[in-house]
Parts: sequence; C-alpha cells; structure tokens
Amino acid sequence: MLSVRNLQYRYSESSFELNVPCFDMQAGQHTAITGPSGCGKTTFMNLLAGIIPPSSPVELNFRDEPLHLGNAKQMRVFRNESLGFVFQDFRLLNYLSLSENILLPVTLSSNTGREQWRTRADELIKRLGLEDLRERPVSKLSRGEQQRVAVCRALLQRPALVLADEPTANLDATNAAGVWELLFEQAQEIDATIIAVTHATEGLERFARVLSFEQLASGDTEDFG
Amino acid sequence: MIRLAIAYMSSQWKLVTTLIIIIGLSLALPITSVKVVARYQSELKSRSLNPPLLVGARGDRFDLVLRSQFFVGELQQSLTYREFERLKRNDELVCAPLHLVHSAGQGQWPIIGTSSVYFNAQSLVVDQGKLFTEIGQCVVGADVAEYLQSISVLKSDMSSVFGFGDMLPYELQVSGVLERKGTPDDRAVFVSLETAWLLDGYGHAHRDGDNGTAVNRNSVLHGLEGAHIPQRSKTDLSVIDKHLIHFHGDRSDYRISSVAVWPTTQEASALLRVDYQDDRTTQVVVPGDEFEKLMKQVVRVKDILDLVFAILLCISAVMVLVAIVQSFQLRKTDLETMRYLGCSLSKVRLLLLTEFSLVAGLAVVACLVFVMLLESVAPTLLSIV
Repeated sequence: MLSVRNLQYRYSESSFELNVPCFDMQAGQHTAITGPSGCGKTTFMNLLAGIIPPSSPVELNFRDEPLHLGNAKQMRVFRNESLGFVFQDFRLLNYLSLSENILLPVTLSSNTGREQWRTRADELIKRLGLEDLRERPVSKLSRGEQQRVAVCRALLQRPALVLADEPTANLDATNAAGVWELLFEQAQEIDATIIAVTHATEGLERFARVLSFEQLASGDTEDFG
Repeated sequence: MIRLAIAYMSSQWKLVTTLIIIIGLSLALPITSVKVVARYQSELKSRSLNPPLLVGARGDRFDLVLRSQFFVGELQQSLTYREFERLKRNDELVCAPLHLVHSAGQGQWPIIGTSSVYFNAQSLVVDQGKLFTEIGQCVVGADVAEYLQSISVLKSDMSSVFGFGDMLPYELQVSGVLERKGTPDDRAVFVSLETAWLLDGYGHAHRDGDNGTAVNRNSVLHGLEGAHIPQRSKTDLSVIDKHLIHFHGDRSDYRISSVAVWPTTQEASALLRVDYQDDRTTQVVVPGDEFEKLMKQVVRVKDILDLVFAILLCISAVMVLVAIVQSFQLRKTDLETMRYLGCSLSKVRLLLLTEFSLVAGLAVVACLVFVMLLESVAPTLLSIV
C-alpha cells in the first residue's frame, strides 16, 4: 500500500541526518513507531505527508502509484483526499466551531457534495458525544475534546492512510485512551491504515506492528513488539 | 472562503473594528474637508451674482458682508433710517434698507426688514401669494415655506429671554412664498421696515386708555416724549386691530442694520465709495473683495488641513501595515495548518484577499457614515449659514 525507499532529510541547523532506507506498509496495517523525543519521528511523518521536502530524490509509492514529493499539487491532493493527519499540537483553528474545524479539509478543498460531508461530520460528532457543543469554538473545549476533534477532522474524508504524530502526547491517561479508541474504531470502520509515532508505551498493544526509530533508520522494519 | 474570513474577523472584532475606524476616518476627513470647502465656495458664489455695495456702520467689514448677505444675525452697530433716506435721494443708486435684528423659529429663520426694491434687485419672484402690503405681513423663503407647509402664521422670537420690555413676539401673517433661489433668501422671512420696527418696539397696538408704564432705559423708545409701554400690547394683529398701531418718535431716527446699494453706473459706484472714504461712522464695503479675502483664508486653512490629513494618512497606513503584519504572524500556524490539510497557496491568498476586501468594504461604509456625520456637524462649524 505504501512503500518508501531512500528517504533522506538533512537538518540545516544540525549535523543530524534522517535516513530511512526502506519502509513498507500493508493496507489496513497499523504501525507504531516509537522513539525518544528529538529522534526525528515528526520529521519522518512530515516527509511522508509532503509537508517538508526530502534532501534527495526518494522513491515513494502509494497504492502502487508513484508519489512525487516535489510535486506540490499532487502532494496537496494526496494530503487533502487520501491522508488524514493528526498533529501532536492538534492544530485546530481556535476561531472556528467544533463542526467547522471537522469540516475544514472539505471547506479548503474544491470538493463538491458538502451536504454529504456535513452528514459525515454529524456522525463523527455524535460518536464523540459532543452534539451539544457542535457550534462552540474549539478554544472552549478541553484538551482531550480538542484532540478528539482533531482525530475526527483527520478521518472525515475516509482517508486510506492516517498519520498520527504523538496524538496523545499532551493528554492524561484517560483522554489518551479515549483518543486511541476513537482512532482505531474509526480507522477500522473506514479500513484505513495507521502510522503513529509515539514516545509513550501506553496504547501500543493496539498496533499490529511496533517499530523503534532505530529499526526504521536501519531499514529493519520487522515488528519487535 | 467568505464564511472562514467572517469567522476570523469576528474572532478579531476589536482589531477589525479599530482598522475599519482608522481607515474610514483617514479617508473621511480629507473627503469631508474637500466637500465642505466646495460647499463654502458655492455658498459664497450664491451671493456673487449682482452683489450690491453695502453701506453700514464702521466696524468689521467682513461682518457687515456676512450678516447683510447671509443673514447670520444682528450687526453690533446700526445705522439710522436717515442714512438710507440720504442715499435714496441719489437717483443713480438703487437702495434697499436691511433690518437684520429679529428671527423666527427659535433663531432658525432670520426676519429681514426691507423694501420691495430688494426683491427686484435680487430678482426674487413671489411664487405663491403676494408681497407684503400691510404691517404685520411677511413673505417667506422656499425653505421656510417647506417647513411651515400650510401654516399661515409665523411667530417672531422673543427678543428677551424673560419676555420683558417692548420687543414682543408678534404673529406675522404669511402673505407669499418666494421662488427657490439657492441663496440665503430661501431661509429668510421678509417683512416691511414698519413691521421690523414694530418688532423693535418703536410702535405698538393697544386699546385706548392703556397708557401702560414708563419706558425703561433699555427700550428703543427711551427718551422719547410721550412714549410708553402699554400694559397689554396686541401681538396678534387682525385687520380690526391694525388701526390701533402707532409709532413713537421720529422715523428718521429708527434703526436699520445696513443698506444694500446697486449703483446704476460705474461712476456712481466710485463716487459712493469716495463719499464714504473718510466717514468716521459709516463705511461702504464691496462684498466681492471680502469674499476674495475670505476664500484666500479658506484655501490657506485647507492647505494646512490637507497637510495634516496627509500626515494622518501616513500614520494610519503604518498602523494598518503593522496590524496586518502582526496579524500574519499570529496566524502563521493557522495558515500553515490550512496548507498541511491540502489547501493550495492560491486559496490561502484568496482567503486573505477576501478578508482584506471585507475590511476595505466595511472601511468604505464607515467612511461614508463618517462623511455624513461630519457633514451634518460641519454646517454649524464651517458653513456660513
């Protein structure tokens, strides 16, 4: 479903160089990548999403189609339609309401059929149990609620691939469990593949494959969990 | 995009409102200044057609022009009717006396005591009714008529706030309405000199036997033999009461404010000016000269205002720029998030453009409102009338 070869990124401000020689994902497979803070997990996710460009040409295939990380338009469409990204710091627009934030990817795209997405957003809001807060600005929600809104936004367009960058890093154990539960339940429903990076050990049991960042960097992507 | 733009602007309403007010005011001030100066010029021009020479008591020349031509109140010094009679004897001068003391409608409409000569010289046409023929009648300008509608009686203002003395509020019968001219005549009430003097207190109407009280020292009748203040003056002058009206003293001593003079020849005009050149109590003023002086002052003030507004505009532009740059920095993460979610750069630009357009549109609306507000205040601050 996703295959990456020779992914390299050189940080301009340090001598550290991220190097992933080989990384493959099967459809529907959920993979967790663990490692300490600052090892390059977020950079890896940003590279996969095309948010930052790699230092050298990379071979990237998604659903057997080549993805050109240098092609801004292709990567934009990929991010908008096939990828759901859950950010560590939520990245919600504070001045928008809960429902407006969930619908944001559709609002920003040229997607037609807004009504269909509104129904989908309603389903997700119902699943969150936040129907009464749908018009409330996200700044007035708790952190746990905010991250769940961010998960719903990532899953709105039923993406084939979900990238979750430390989705529970800023949450307490109860909220973290709630976010994992929502993520897995929804991913299963839409048959999405999840790649999550985390430095925590909680919730790892839910993943079919758990890789350390060292394994990723060495190209040994067999599950150690 | 509009919804997103509105949502952001609503969340930043304090900043947005400040920007709208700053931009709106920065535009409104110079616009209002240009409009007010243009109106000022047009008001001056409204009296530049066939302007008379003005004969009045020596004093502020511009004040004499302003009050005699634009009817903005009483002159501090007055003339006697004798001066008018003297001028009238010259066949080469067309003269109209001007009595500018009284008003009606709580100061809204000046009451001008004059003769029929004034109407001919100023090409004023009675549109409805007829010119005043009797004491107590008046002809009103188009603006006054519009306000009065079908009301045919107009009460003069009480000259003393306490209502004492002999200057009583009379009920004037409207005998005619003047055609609109776009000049200060439109908002004036014209009466005969006799009526104006009646309002002054030189004359009054009362029943026989009402000898009243002695004349107080503030009265125009003070010092006149046989003069008195009746106990009950008739101020609603019906036809029946008009025979009761009588005046005290010598008419030649009665006051008038100024005399409008239209010389029939250039020579007569020059002679008139020479005649009064060394007069210590009376002067002749050419309104055009005073208008020119005034316009030079106005243009000078406008130049200063333009400079102030230009500086203000620069300061506003810098403030707006700083606010926009700061807003960008605060929104950097939001705009990044949009790009991360697959939004194209052109759409982000479109969103920002929409926000600018909305702010600019609202600033234009605010500017129009400010211009309207400033213009509604401007007549009392900057206009002649």
